[in-house]
Amino acid sequence: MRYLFLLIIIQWHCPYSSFATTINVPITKKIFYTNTQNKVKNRQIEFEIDKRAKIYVDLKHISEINIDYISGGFFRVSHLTAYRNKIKPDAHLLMGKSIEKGKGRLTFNYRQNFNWSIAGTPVIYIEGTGNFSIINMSVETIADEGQAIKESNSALFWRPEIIRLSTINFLTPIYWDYNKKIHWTSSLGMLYFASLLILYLYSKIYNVDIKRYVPYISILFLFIFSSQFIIRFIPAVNWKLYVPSNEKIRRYYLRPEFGQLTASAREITGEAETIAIAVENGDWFSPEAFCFNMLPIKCLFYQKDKDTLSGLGENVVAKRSDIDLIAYYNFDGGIPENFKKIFSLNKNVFIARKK
Amino acid sequence: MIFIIGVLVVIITGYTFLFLFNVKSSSLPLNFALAWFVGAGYFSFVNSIFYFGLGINTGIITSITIVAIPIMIFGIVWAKYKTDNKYVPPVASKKTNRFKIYERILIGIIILTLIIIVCHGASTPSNGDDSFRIRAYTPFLVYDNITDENAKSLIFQNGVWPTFLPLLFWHLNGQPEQFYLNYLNLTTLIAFITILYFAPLVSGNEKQGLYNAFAILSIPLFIYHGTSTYMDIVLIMVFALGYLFFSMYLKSNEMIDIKLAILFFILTFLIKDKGGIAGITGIFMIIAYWLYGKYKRSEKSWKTIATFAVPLALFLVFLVLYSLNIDTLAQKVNVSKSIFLKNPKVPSEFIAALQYKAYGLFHSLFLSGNFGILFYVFMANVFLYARRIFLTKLIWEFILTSIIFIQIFMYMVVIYVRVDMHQAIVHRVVMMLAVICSLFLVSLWTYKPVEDG
Repeated sequence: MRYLFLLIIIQWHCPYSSFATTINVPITKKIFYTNTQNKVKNRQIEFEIDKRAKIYVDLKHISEINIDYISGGFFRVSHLTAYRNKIKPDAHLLMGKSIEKGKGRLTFNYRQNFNWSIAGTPVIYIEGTGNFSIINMSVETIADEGQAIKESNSALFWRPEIIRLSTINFLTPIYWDYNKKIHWTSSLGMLYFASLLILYLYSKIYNVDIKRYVPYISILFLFIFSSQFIIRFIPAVNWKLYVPSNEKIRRYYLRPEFGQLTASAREITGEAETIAIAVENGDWFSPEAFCFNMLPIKCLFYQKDKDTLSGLGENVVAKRSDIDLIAYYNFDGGIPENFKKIFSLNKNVFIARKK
Repeated sequence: MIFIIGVLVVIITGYTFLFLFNVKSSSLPLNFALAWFVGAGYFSFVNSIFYFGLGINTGIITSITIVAIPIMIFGIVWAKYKTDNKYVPPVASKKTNRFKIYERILIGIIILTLIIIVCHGASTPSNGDDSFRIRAYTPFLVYDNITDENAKSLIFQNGVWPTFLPLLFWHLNGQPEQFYLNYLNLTTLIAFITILYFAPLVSGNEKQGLYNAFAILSIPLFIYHGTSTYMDIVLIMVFALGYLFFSMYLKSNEMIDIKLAILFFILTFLIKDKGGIAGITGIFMIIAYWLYGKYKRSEKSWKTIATFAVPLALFLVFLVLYSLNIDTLAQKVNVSKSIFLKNPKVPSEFIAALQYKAYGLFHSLFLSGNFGILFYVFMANVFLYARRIFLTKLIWEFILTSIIFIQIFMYMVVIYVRVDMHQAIVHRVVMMLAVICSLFLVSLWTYKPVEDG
């Protein structure tokens, strides 16, 4: 029974049963449309990313995109599906990967997007500042819509767990069949009930004690759910057991630019100095995370128009004139005249010190 | 290295109390794990009294004094004990049979899950904003000896354990180190799993230990929380240990089990503002069980019934008042951004919100996947084993589980103001229920009817 069930899972959601065709795509400017500056040179396309950019890939029936890239910055790269050039990115469920400076290869499995279909336009969403070049691109295409739905169901079932700010409250919902909105929990739960019912009937016919087997069946079903979760969670795990504290901050924050800025600020700022963090409107996470990482150094949330500034937990209050350093993270305003840049990751992420 | 020294200091301190109050067991890993909880609870509690009660600032001298006193007493008592008694080394637990294949698979997945939690938890900075603002921030306030109203409010929300325990490690280190907060949660988790596994093993119930560890580590949201600096998981672990020892006491009638159950329910008070209500619930169950035993044995008079009914009534009144007034309570200590706002006043809106939140709870339990299929298994097993539950002492565990469910229902559906189903702090609250339901299930499966009087 248990082997039969595992066989059903493997058959139904086998991640390798794709019917997609792989095609190498020559890089031309026509394929991409984007809100950012770009140029094609030597069969490569280079994008100048300023804080964030959406790169639409004007191809249909795409299920997967593989790119070889050269990165000039620290980026968070996600993939989305757009319809009529409109995107509704659900920030809670965005698939994202952090990349550092240098060459690399990325695979975007669009089947893992909850709103994916072959009619959608694939989008590469990049957060960060700097140059990003695509030097090679291949795509997987699917012609048949029925097959696309099947592959989408399979990809969503095995969707890797992505650590988000809200993961603490809820994990990615998993469906046995996303197209029919059948939850994995309810389908496995119902199968569990069905197995108990079969066991009950069996016990009535053959006069055996059902309770002897109930714990084993229960544990088996808990094991199946747990194993599927562990498989999905493993790609998100940072495996290095010991990394110096500053390296952890530098490498393992969700947005790599933020990690770089924070780790540098920790190295630069003196114990008796006061630092402020200036961010763009609507960014509530970065000031809190930054000031927490700066503790016990005095840290404030920078605001253009206010003279008295506060920090984490509203316990830290100081005057603007007390600030020795300002860390800029995608802030929209300029640097005060009496400050000069002392560290720069790029034009949007830097640290300035009072002259 | 400094962190490991700190862990040893806490364990030695805790072991002192286990020794003095004679609550040691024959298993060394179990003693060390218990000593971690006792030492951590003792240090934070005494430090909070120094800080708030006596107005003594925190510092290396305060920290060292707090841990040195019990260790010195231990040294004196141990020296006397050694001369008075011939030392008998702890008896190793009876060698069990070799593990069966499925048990080996379970051990494999337990080890893999623990490796994942420890590696990810030790290396990853906290990504939860609540953690920055409260959970991981309050120890820094106390480290800097800040005692304004806002600081007091944050400490009230966080509890004294999460606030004061890191200080010992920071003082040994010479400066605050934020990742020690990650390591502290991981150490607590390892001690927790050790107790779950070894406590039943020492009592001769081999399977219960293995199933306990597996069932808890099969809860997906618990695994992720294990890697975080949130304190919900510490509260859950401490309360769950009280639950485990209460459950073991029901089967064994061993005094050591009830002592440990009371100890862990008291320790629950030290974590978060909600720890108080959880701890009182556990202690109430112990009192109720004790009074019921008294009534059953001989004194079947109205007087005894009244003795039983009065604490119950007081407990229920307390629950209602606490539930209704937690906002006022929080405001008294200046919780500026209290989430305990009033529900809509218009009855139809109120009912609609209630229905929506009730669906939120249902979604959390049965559809979200945060707790796997645990609640399906729980429901089926309660149905199948109804006779065993209601005719044996398992009923007491079931009542405690039910009270926790009612409290969660009250908190989430009736009191809690937010109605956005998926965002829900609710999942964190329900995790407490998930953990004790797992323990209840294992207790049910491994129950030996012969022991029931």
